[in-house]
Amino acid sequence: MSILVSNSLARGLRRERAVDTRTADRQWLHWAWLPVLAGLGLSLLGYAAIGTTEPVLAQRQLGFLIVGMLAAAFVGAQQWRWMRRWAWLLFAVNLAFLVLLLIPFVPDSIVRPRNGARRWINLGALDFQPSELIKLTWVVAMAAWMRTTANVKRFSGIIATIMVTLVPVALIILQPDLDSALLFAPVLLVMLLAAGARVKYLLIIACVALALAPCSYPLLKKHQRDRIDTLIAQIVGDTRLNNGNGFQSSRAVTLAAAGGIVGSGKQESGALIHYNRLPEEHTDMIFAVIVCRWGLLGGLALWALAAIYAFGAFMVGVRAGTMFGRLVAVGIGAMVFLQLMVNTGMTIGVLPVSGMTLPFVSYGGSSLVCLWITTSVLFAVASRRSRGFDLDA
Amino acid sequence: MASESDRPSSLRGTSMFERRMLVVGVVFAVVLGGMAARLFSLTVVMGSQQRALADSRLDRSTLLATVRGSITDRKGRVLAESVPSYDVAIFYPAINGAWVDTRAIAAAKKAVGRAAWNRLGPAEREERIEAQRQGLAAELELVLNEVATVCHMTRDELSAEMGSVRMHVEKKASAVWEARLEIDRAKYGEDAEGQFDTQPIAEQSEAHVVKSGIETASAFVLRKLADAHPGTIEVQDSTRRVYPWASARIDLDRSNMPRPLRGGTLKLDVQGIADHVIGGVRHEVWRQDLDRRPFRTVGSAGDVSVDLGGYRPGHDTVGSYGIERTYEDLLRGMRGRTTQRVDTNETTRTEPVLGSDLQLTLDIALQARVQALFMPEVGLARAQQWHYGWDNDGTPKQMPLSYLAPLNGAAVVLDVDTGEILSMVSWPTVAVGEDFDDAVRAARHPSVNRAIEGSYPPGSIIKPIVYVSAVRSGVFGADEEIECNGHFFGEGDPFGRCWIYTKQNKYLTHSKVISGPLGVEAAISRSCNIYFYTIAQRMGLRTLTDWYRNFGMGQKLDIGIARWEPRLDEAGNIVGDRLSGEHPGVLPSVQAIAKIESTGDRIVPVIAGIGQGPIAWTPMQAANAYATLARGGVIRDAELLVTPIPGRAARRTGDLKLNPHSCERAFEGLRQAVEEQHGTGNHVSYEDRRPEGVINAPGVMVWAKTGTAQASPLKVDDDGNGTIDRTITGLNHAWFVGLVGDAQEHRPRYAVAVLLENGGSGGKSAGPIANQVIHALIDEGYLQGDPKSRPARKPLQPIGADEVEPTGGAG
Repeated sequence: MSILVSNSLARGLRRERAVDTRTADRQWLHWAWLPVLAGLGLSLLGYAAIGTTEPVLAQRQLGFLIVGMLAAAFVGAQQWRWMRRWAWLLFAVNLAFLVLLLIPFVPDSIVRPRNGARRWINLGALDFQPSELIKLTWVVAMAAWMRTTANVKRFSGIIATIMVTLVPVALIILQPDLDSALLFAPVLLVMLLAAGARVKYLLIIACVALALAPCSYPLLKKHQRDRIDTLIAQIVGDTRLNNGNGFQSSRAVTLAAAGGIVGSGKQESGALIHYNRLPEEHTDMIFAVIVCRWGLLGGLALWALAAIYAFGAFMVGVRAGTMFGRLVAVGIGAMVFLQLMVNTGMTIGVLPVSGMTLPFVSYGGSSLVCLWITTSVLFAVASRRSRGFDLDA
Repeated sequence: MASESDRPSSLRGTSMFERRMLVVGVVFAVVLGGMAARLFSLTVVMGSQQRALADSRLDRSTLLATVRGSITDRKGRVLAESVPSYDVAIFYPAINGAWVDTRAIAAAKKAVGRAAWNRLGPAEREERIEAQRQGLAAELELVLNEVATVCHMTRDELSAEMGSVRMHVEKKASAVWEARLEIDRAKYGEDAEGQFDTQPIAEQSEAHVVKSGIETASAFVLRKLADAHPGTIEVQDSTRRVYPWASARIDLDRSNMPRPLRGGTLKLDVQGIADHVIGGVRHEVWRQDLDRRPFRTVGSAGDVSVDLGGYRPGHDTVGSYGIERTYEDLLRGMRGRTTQRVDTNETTRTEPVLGSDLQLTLDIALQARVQALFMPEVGLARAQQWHYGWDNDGTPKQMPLSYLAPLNGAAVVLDVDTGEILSMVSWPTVAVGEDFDDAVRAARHPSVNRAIEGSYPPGSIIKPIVYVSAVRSGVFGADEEIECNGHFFGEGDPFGRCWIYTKQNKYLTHSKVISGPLGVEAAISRSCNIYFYTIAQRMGLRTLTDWYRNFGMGQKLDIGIARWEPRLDEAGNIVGDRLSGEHPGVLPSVQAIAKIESTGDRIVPVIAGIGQGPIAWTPMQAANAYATLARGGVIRDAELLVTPIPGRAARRTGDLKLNPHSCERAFEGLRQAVEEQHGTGNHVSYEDRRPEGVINAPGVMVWAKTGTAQASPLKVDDDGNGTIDRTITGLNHAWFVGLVGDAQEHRPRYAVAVLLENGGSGGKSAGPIANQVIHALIDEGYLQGDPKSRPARKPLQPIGADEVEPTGGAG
């Protein structure tokens, strides 16, 4: 750990001109407004979409949105430099929560099981899902490590990032939530790329990973293999599984397609979704609701917001004054964007169905609040006036 | 935003970072583009199809009952109709017990609360469900007990009904699954099994009828029960098939009966009137119905199509035989359907198509009167000594059958002008046969409609047909005369003799009797064999056969009365059904004729001229041939239906253009056979040797021919154990076929054919029945007769005509 925390190498490359990091250095016109506005757009879209079938939950989601934005405002107002210093500690604490979930005899009053899964920690008004926050703390920790060029220039350094990443991934897989865990790999790849790792190394690792992926199939749990089988069946036009394992997926595809170009409106889509018995319609499958209600245009609008979010985040990275800020921004942008893609992809039948939520849109307070805190980190990175590029700021 | 100039270009990786972010951005854009293309294909290309699928899941359909068409007789009297009634149905989950489980889960969830339920583990959930189960099982049992009580069933009978529903549905489900798996196998190869999912079929959620035709009061009680225990039972509006004319009471006037049977008025309850014709229905759907016309058909693409007139497993009214079966698809009608969209309550309604009503040419009252003549109480259709006569010394002649043995028979009455069937009786009827014990039923075959399914050698009744055919075909002059020397092939030859040429008769011949050669009148009235051997030989078997065919022998007349017969594939599985119910009769085929000619068989071509050998026909065909003769050869085959049937095959038409002079002479022969003392159908002698006329109806004119046709030996299984105990030989089928009209009119109006199986002499056993048929025609107003000679009869009424609840079926 001490090596990780050490910034001696970075110190060597420090710009000669010291950077003033007083509060006066904040700027208000910056790219992070794009992710904020996109996140707000997605949240409101989610609010409306949840209201299609669950008006009560939609009201609660609105409440979560307000809480999330308040939390974001609080986090965004902080001097964010401490984040780099505490990055590993935050990561470690978050990991500790993940471990807590896995300890069998933790009472239900602390770890609240839902449908047999133990992913939530009871915080009274709001259930906290550590695996949501780990995405942020992991990105921050990775950025803290990768900001030092030497750490990523060597092959061993890359392996080190992979090994560290495997810790939360393993803990999440044990939850069991394979799909969220798999999200870490492409984000790590993007961050390594952004951090300046050698493309050659990255290609080697990517090729090895792709080559090993099929070998992991027999190791998968039955329901995971089923999901992959279902996807393949759906792609080749095999309708046999539509009432079994493929039920959720086939219903989602049907409902999305039923939306047509402009959608079928609230009342009608609400009835269609209810009587087609779409499972998880306000959480994982919310994209089907959006397309059913607002049609192709609704789907494109959501993706446009996702693209705006990613673009904004990347621009925050481009404009960031430090390597750490740059990597945090890129990591967050990639994480949110890819999760949006994976969720919508599974809804329209191009990826296996997973238990992954649609960021900002799916019903769920823990996720929404975490995402707004994540977005506020982008805001914090961007609002720091850059007087040049400071590798160690 | 920071401007470009703020950043020193010497910094590490700035441009590289931007390049790399551009690459990542492009990759993300490509991903987005691919997803957008997929969504475009979903919403635009597949949109409407998937929308229809999604919409279809919002539709809730209810079937609307139709009413099966009625069957009426020629005078509009209702023979079969459907009346409102109620059925009790049990939902399938209540039948297989799944109702208890689903309700237990729901109740347990409700008791615990949704939030708490989510926290429970599987074992704790199961425990709470189990706690609910007992009460629910008791509730279901209570409902079923109540159903059994109200329906007047024992609980065991109800369980048996439910078990049979369950068996049928399970069979259907496995068949459906098997079929789907088969489709999958064809599509995906052998791994299909591993992926196969046994989706519940619709019948596994529907209600199934366990008791049909319950009373209104019971229906009310059960409707309340159904409301109190949702998802268990259902009372469905339904109909019941009733046959108002299934039985009738007849006052039979016995004043004109053969002397030994004469007496006062006999009150008879006639059962199963025309049941062979009308047929019956069953209330259970069989496999063959589902195969023939299923309600739901799953296509090769897995698509489901619905035939609203099709059958669903369980209880439904299905024509099982007779007209009810033949015209099942017409009588049945089509159900209607309302489809309601659950969200908008928008309803589309397909109106039910009522079943077509059918009118028959039968006169049910006449039918009842004719049928009554065969009842054992009357004595006409039993083996009587006067059928066989007495020797000169007064000793009764030997009877091959035991005295008063019941005889099977048939009688047909056709309207000559139209070919319409006024009456077609087969004895015993289906209903009468139900009272037989197994051995008797096996021996007498009550289900066989002898009028059209029984095929018998014609015997002498064919003779007028042979004569007019020979004249028409040009091989025989209408006025030619033939010498009867008693033997055709030679004095010592046992074959080809005239019936009169026996040792007992001191080798009498017809020429001796009338002192000269015979003209056709004498040949017919005296039924001379030699005359017709001669004609037949001159015609040749081929020409004779052609002419028999012209008169309707050897082909079905398309009366349209069905008996169900399975159609089997090579493996013996039922692959469909076919309608039988009519015998075409027997005629030698072209090959058979060629064989007979090539072997130089001298006998067959000759005896075919007196209705023996490889020829046979049904009583209907006999009456039909005589009606054709009466029309001078105009073909108008016997017809049972007044209502035109769409899509029915064209019926036989044509004109044989018989020589009118030959017809006149043949008719004169037929008249003499009845009216002249020497006629074979003229009189019967009784024990006191006093003869009496066979036909004694006043004011009518009868042209008729008797026939006594050799019957095959009768195999008797006395103890009903399936083995033959004795064989009776020397039996003859008795025919009396003729035409009748009013004396003043002097033209034939009706063709009457009577057959008594193993009845012996046609004139003596079948004749008296034909006589009574003619009396019945007078009673029912078809013939005027002599109004002075008899009082007016009151019109016949069916038994139970005034009652509200007639009995179930004719069969």
